[in-house]
Amino acid sequence: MAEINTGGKKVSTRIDLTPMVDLGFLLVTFFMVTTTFSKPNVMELAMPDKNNLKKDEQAVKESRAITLILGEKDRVYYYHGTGQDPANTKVETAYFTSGSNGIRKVLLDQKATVANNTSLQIKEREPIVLIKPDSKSRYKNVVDILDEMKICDIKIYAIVDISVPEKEMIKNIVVTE
Amino acid sequence: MPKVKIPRKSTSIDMTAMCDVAFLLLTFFMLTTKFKPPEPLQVDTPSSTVAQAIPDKNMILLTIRDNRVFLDVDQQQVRVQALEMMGTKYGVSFTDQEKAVFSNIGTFGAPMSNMKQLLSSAVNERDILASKMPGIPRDTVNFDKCELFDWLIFIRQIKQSNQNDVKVAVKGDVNTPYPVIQNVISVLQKQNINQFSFVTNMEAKPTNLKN
Repeated sequence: MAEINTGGKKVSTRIDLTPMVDLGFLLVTFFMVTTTFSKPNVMELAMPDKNNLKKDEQAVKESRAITLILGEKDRVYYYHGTGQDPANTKVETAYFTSGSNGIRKVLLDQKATVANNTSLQIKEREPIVLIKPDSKSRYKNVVDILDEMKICDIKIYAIVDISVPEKEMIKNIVVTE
Repeated sequence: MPKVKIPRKSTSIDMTAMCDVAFLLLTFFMLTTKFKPPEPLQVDTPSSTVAQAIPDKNMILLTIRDNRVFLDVDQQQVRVQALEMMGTKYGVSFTDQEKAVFSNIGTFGAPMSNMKQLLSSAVNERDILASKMPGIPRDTVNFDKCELFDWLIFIRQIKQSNQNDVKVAVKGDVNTPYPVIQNVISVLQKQNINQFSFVTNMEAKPTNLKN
């Protein structure tokens, strides 16, 4: 029987595994990244207990308070105080931007003003923020404003329902853009 | 001078061992990865700077977009029990097969009147049908007929009887009108859930806080 001529040279059976290792580690990295970073975060929110509201309720000092009304088109209408006297309340407009017309500056200013207010007792020198989302605001605005509370380190804040006089107040505001 | 002969060595090393390690790790990560169940209601969550991860267990997740509220809860056993309790209250009975389907369906937004239709649908049509559901009905005037209220109360009862403290998370779309959120919050507050959380995406914290 004739022998099969293999050409004389023996071909090595070893193959270069480098590309396979590359591929392996690429996939490992992919799975590692997708497992750990896909988790969303949660922002905790505590609402006042409606049943015990009377107990917790305390008079808010006008000089400490600032009221933010979340309006349409991502606007924030704000005024100092709690709006006991709507006729003499000056309502201004801010946005969720970080610039000079941003709400962050307003909050930080309020914080600084309250902290330097010598007519208040030392333990009272923290601002109180009342957040009143209007029916035209969207969910993003609420989350953004709560986030601003965290960023500006404001400890006392609450989400409150908007009142009828306040709806009237923001209705008449003309915003020039 | 006599020449020193340096024997030339091959620079290629044996990659077999490295390859083994890479694939071992790959297998491990592939097996531990949990794939996301299909989401019938796709939402675009707002971003915030908080860095607290969402808990995996004992969580009621309310997904909200436009005017629709979908619900999800972990643990198959709890889901089946809750479905049975809801069925008793709203006069719908489910077969064992339908209960099994419900325990694996993930997020759902079917009113009790459409639940049977959803659970008995063919597998390939179920995802489409699930995404077309009108959401869990909420009636904030008459809480006795509010299905969302009942789901929450039943799930919490079951979880509490298993000694598990359950938390509620709201996952809303950025463009959800606030009245819908307010509505859901009022349902939660009605049963004394005053602490809940909002699901958000990660965002970098601003560094320059000075004016």
